[in-house]
Parts: sequence; C-alpha cells; structure tokens
Amino acid sequence: MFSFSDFVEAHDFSDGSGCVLFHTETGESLAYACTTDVLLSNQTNEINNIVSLLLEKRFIQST
Amino acid sequence: MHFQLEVAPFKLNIQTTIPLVIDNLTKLYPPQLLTSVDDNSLADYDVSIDYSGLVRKYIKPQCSFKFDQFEPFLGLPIGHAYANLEWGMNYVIASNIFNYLIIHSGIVAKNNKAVLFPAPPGSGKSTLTAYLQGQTSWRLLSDEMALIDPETLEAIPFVRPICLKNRSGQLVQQWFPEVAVSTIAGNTHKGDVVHVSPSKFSWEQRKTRAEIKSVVFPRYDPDVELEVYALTKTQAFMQLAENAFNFSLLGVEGFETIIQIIEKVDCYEIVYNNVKEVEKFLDEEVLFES
Repeated sequence: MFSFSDFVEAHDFSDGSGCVLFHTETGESLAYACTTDVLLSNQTNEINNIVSLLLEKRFIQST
Repeated sequence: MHFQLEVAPFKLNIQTTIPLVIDNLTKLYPPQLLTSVDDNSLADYDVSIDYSGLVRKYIKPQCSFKFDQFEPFLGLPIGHAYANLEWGMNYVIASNIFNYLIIHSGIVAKNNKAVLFPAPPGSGKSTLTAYLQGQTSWRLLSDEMALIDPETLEAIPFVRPICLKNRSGQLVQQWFPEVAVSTIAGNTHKGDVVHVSPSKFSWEQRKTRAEIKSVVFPRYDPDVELEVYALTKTQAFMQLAENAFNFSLLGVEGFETIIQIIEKVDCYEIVYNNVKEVEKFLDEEVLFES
C-alpha cells in the first residue's frame, strides 16, 4: 500500500487483477482492473474517463 | 429482572420482565454465561427489552428494545420480543465497536482455521453456518458478524444463537434433533424466525481466536448442487468491503485490514444447494483437512 496523494491510499493487488484506491476523508473506495501505473499514465480515452471519475470524487485534483 | 450475559468478548446487562424473553435466554445460552445480577453490575453495554407501555402490556401487547435508554427501533409484537433482543444486541455491537473490523458474515472454524461467509440476507449463509458448526471439529464464531483484530488479522469469536428464517429452522432441527430452539417469531420483517443454540464445542471454544484461511461468498440456488468460482483479489476486495459494517469508520486501518486479509487468503464465490458438498469442498480445497 502507498500514498497516491495527500488523501488517497492505494494498493496494487499481488495477483495483477487490479488496484484499489481509498479516500481517507470520505471513506470511499474505488477498484480498477488495471494497475495504479496505468491509472496514472492517462494514455487512453478509457483512462481519461477514469481520471474524470477520480476528479469528480475528489480522489485526485486537477492542476 | 436483571441478567448479565457474557458473550465474549463483551458483557451485556439485560433488563426484562417478559417471560418469553427469560424463557428463551435460559433455553439457548449455557447457564454459566447468563447470571442474575443486581441492576448496578458493570457491563460493556446496558440493554432492555420490555413492554412498550402499560396499555401495550394488555392490548395488542408490544415490546420495545432500549440501549442506554435510547430506543433505536419501533415497537414490535410481543411474540417477537426475543428475536428483537437478539437483533438489538447485533445493533449495539455493530454500531459501537471500533477496535475490530466488523464484517456482515457467517464465520466458522475447523482446527482454529476460519472461513468467512460474507453475504447479504437471503443468501443462505446462516443455514450453511448452522450446518457446519454442528459437524465434528467445526465450531461457530458467529452467524452474523465476523470480528477481526486489525493488528493480528485473527477472527474473534462472538458466539450467540443462530438466527434462521422460514424453512431453514426446520431443516436445522432435522439435521440436529437435539438442538435447543427458541419459540417462533412469526411474520417478522424477515419471515418466521427462530434462534438455535450453537454446538457445545462452539460454546466451549468461545474465547479461542482463529486464523482466517479463506473468504467464501455463498449464494443458495435450489437448482445447483455446488459451483465454485475463484475470485480475483480485486473482486474479493470490493465484495468484502461492501459487507463491512465499519470499514469507512475505521479509515485507513479498515482499508489496510481488508487488503491484508485479501492478500493472505484465497477467495471464492459458491452457488450451492448441498451443504455436504460445501463441507467437502472446504475440507479438501480450502482447509486441506482430508
């Protein structure tokens, strides 16, 4: 487990099935069928949709 | 009357004057765990179940459950009083315990190796739990809530009578004819409900923690003997988190605890109608006891 941002803890599962993010302020968790590296790479339209969701739920902040 | 009920790891003071409640408590709990006390005895929680009022004692009698004088539920028919007390105790623990992760789950153990059955109501988890805890070497930790120590990841027993709905009560009495069964609470919001006393071995081992070896999400289907699906860790995490009562309240500690459990054990979804086949699967494929 590692800190994804100031308010978000993250974990990549050992079986490679995906990752999960936990928002320490809201107690909400989100799981994805990809690694956090892929999530952060922001390369595809699908990932853009995920990033939009993360922004909307305040898991990440726009710069 | 005032009773103190020792349901390790907690002690509850119970005040009641309803004969149905007193009869069922003395029938289902071992005598050494249920003692008459004066009303000043110290306990973790003070609850009461009593007539809703003088009028309601005689006209369409109703009962009210109170926790520290707070009444969390509406009054129920007097015939539901014992079930109401058991549900009330579930409410008290689920809403007040923050040092353990609490998962809505049946949990049983064999040779101190525990299997969790997290599932929503109606999935058959209590029936499956009731069957397994009555088998040789198996014991009940809880039919309703798994308490997990975040520091050690051990499962802490919370042994109490098992709540069974509708036909499940009759089924369990067929499996275990000697089992102590409560009076029926008819037409509750869950249907007809009975509580059954766990096995003697379960009561004896009520303070013995167990190591979690697997998480199995059960679903009863009358047309399927047994189908087993291995879950990925991501799938298992989300399903387990959905069944955790206090996951978000525990914050990062709750998140870490669920992750550590999921990383440590294999997780499955089972669809079943044959409890013996489930026991065989658990023995051979999960606990490696055969």
